[in-house]
Amino acid sequence: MLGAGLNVEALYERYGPMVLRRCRYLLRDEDEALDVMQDVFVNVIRHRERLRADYPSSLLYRIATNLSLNRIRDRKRDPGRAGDEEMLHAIACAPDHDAPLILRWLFGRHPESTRTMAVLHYVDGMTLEQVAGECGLSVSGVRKRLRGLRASLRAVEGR
Amino acid sequence: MMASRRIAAWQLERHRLGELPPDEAARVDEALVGDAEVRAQIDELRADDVRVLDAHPPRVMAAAIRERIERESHASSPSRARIPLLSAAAAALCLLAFLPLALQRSSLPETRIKGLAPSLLVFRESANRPEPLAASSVARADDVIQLAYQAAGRPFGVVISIDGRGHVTRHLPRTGDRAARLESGGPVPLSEAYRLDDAPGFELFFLVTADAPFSVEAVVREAERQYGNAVGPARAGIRLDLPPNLAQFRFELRKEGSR
Repeated sequence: MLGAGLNVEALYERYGPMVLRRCRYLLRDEDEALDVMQDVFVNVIRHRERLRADYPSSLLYRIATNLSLNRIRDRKRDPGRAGDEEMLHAIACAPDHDAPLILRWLFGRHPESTRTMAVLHYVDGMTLEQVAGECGLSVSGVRKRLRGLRASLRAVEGR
Repeated sequence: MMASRRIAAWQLERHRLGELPPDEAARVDEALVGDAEVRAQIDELRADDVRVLDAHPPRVMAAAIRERIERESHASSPSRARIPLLSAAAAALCLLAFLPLALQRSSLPETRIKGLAPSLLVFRESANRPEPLAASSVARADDVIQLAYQAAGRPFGVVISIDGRGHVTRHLPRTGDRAARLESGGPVPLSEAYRLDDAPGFELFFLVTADAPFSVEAVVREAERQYGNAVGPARAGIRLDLPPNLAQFRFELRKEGSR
């Protein structure tokens, strides 16, 4: 399945439903989730050398998260769309007193990688070690990114 | 899908795919035995797989994905969701023009200069064409950097960068602990460009190469160690203290506003 002769059908059959569910969870819109799901596979196929032979799902999950967040960021404001609010609520209810601060940056100009890390940690409940494994950084690097994020937000809020 | 409190949704997904590390898989196995809610969630995932594949069959979806790739490859402007590889022609032109300059600036004591040595070439995306950067060039936040390596016969390598905040980024390989197998021949661009953030001071790029596989984490930890041991401006001058079987090539970008 992996390598130069990538079998797109087999790749989709194995991972497509998981990717679609991830996009659905973040986007709360079936049509958008389907659209972003296809983008995920386009992205993976273009950069197939990044696929790990043992855990392709890790890369696919991270790309699905990142592209879904990009789509949320790019949405026009629409009072009828409940998707953003539901996810914001999920973040706000995360067992972390910093969770409300995350709302401020999620749609702001923060590096995509840092934003994805924060969702994996605060929304999906991954440990710092797991996030580091997902994103190809050291644990200390992830910790520093999230700490820096919280510090900058506190500065913005005048805390 | 709301996951069990003990088992997250992403763990259930990967457990079904057989792609969890052994210790995490064992936790899920234990939950499956003792928790009816977890078993119900697995059943729901299985049922949803069938619904998805029925509604969007693999052959149809694969065709749609291929069509999208072809359509985007002819598009004039890149997607905002990705930083695309520079066009092959532009990249090749820049690499060929820049290579002699790169060799001049790669004369570091720790690299063997015998013919061609492993090196990194660094480009910045600009409106017209990729701009080759020399060592100590000034860069700024949001600059998009494209890296290319010259393996010079070394079969294994790692590319990392460390910024003025001490954050290490892995560029090659992006995951796993084993050094990447390097391609031989001309300069090889990495598959994805890299957007600089607002970290102050500098961005140091390291290409570490060897004749045999080696640990990526060891290189990352060494970079963090050197950063941690240095103070203030000296951090911009750090080099990796590596075993004799590893060669390093170092490339520094100065961040705008730094001295």
